[in-house]
Amino acid sequence: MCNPAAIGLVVAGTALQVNAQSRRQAAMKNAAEDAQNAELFRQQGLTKEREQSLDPAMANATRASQDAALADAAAKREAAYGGDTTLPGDEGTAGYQAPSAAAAYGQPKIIQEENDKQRGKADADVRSIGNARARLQSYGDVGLGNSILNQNAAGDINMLGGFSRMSSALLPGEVQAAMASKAGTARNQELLGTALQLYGGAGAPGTGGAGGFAGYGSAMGGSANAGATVGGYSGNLAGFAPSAGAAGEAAADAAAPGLMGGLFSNLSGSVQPWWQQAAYKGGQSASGIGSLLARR
Amino acid sequence: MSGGGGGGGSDAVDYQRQQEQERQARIRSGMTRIDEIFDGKKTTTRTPTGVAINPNVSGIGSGTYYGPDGAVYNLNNGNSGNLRWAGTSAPGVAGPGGRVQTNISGAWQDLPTQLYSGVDEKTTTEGGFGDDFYNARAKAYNDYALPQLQDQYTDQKKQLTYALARGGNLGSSLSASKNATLGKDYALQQQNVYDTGQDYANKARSDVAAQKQNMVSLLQASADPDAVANLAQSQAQNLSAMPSFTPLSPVISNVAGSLGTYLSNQQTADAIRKAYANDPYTNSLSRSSGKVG
Repeated sequence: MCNPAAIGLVVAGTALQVNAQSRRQAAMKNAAEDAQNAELFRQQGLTKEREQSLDPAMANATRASQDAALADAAAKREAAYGGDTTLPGDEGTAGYQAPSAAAAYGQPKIIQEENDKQRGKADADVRSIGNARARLQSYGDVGLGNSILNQNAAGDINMLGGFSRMSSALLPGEVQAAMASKAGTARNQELLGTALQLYGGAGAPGTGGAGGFAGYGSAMGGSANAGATVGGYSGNLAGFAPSAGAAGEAAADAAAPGLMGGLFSNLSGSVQPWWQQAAYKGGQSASGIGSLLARR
Repeated sequence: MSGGGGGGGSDAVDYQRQQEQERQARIRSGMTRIDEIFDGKKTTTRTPTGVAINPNVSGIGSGTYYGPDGAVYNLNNGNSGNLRWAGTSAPGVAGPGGRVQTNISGAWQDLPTQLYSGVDEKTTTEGGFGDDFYNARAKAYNDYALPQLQDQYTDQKKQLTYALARGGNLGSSLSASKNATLGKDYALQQQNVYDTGQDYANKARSDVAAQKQNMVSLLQASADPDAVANLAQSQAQNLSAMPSFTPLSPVISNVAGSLGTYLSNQQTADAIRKAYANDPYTNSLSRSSGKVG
């Protein structure tokens, strides 16, 4: 016959195990998320820096700024062309045409006018060609400036991209380490759960035993698989949502060693648990928890 | 975690993160040094402008103000602002201990006794390859090539004058035309010289940028700012050296040469005309009156 007290102990042990595992998983998940969030924060900072590095090149790439840059470059070139328009030997006379020899020699007015006409035409041609040449050359000047600006931005972005990649590469290790650091969470509670299961399964000394796994399995909402593994969750335990609060969890953690001690003393006590009884030994020489785990 | 990350982790992971952060800091430091070597060290000076306000006496409202040292104070009055009155005297009365404070990064600090509404920012660049360096490169070429061009022009001008004088055309419209052609040619060649000078400047600019990029790549690969800075320093010295310029080839067209051909043709034509003028047959034909003998 089933002992209700033993069944209760097994159920409580299972619930504690489930709760412990849930706490552990939550702690590991939180630790992983912390590591991921820290990396996300770093990546966001690097992304922002990358965008800032690109800002000057982007601002320079607009139509308006390019037009302005071309106009500036052309004006600079044209200013250089027009810096000295006197011919060697004719200093003091503006324009690229020497003073009329005709005037110097008192030639007729028609010759002087022809000379002035030629001189004006030469000046106009030079200015016109100079303007066109300056505008043409300005594309090269601006293109070079753009290229250098982009190159600088690319250098910075490449550097930040390298930081980003290297930082990301460390994340898996950090997540694993963070999760590993939380792997011991609620271990005592889990051991307590295990102890209670074993204690209940052993028949809760003096109460006649729980009636085996099928017994408490059927007691857990009709799922025969529930609690089929000691020390690890397996099967349908939907009906055993852990409800213990933090204080309860802490108390369970603290209480676990004592109960474990009770368990082991029970194993060596006068009342033999079920796995020590002849019906369960089945000719096996091993005994105790190790043999129990091996058997299951 | 020492690296500011992740809520736990082994020593090895912490060490890796620390090493990576140190590597990044070294590269950033190296980039700053490379920028300073190639682009110059930029220094911004901030001089406050406008009327000085003593917030302890006249009070102060929300807005951006500048301290005597140019420090920026973004002040925000109100319940959720970063201003408060501290002291024993009433607000606005600069009694003993009465002062306006602002919250800077979580700590309340006294505002300066003089705040200004404006600031004059000036950024100066010290060292590096700036516009003045490239302009000097262009000017160096211009100074080298223009005298050669002027010599060529002077030679051609002499040849033209002699040729015109030989033909008795010194004061003619032909002289005006040929002088205009020569002057125009000189002017266009002068533009070529300026362009070549600017090409040298652009080449220098391009070389500096390429060298800087090399240093950046090297830094990112090595993460050794000291070694790269030393290398960058020596590369910068090489870039500062003036290149050897190519002497100017003859570029002014030989106006007098074409004039010689023109004059020669003219003389030939005159000679033919004279020869025809002296020929009795042609004379008789040209002056034929219909009479015989």
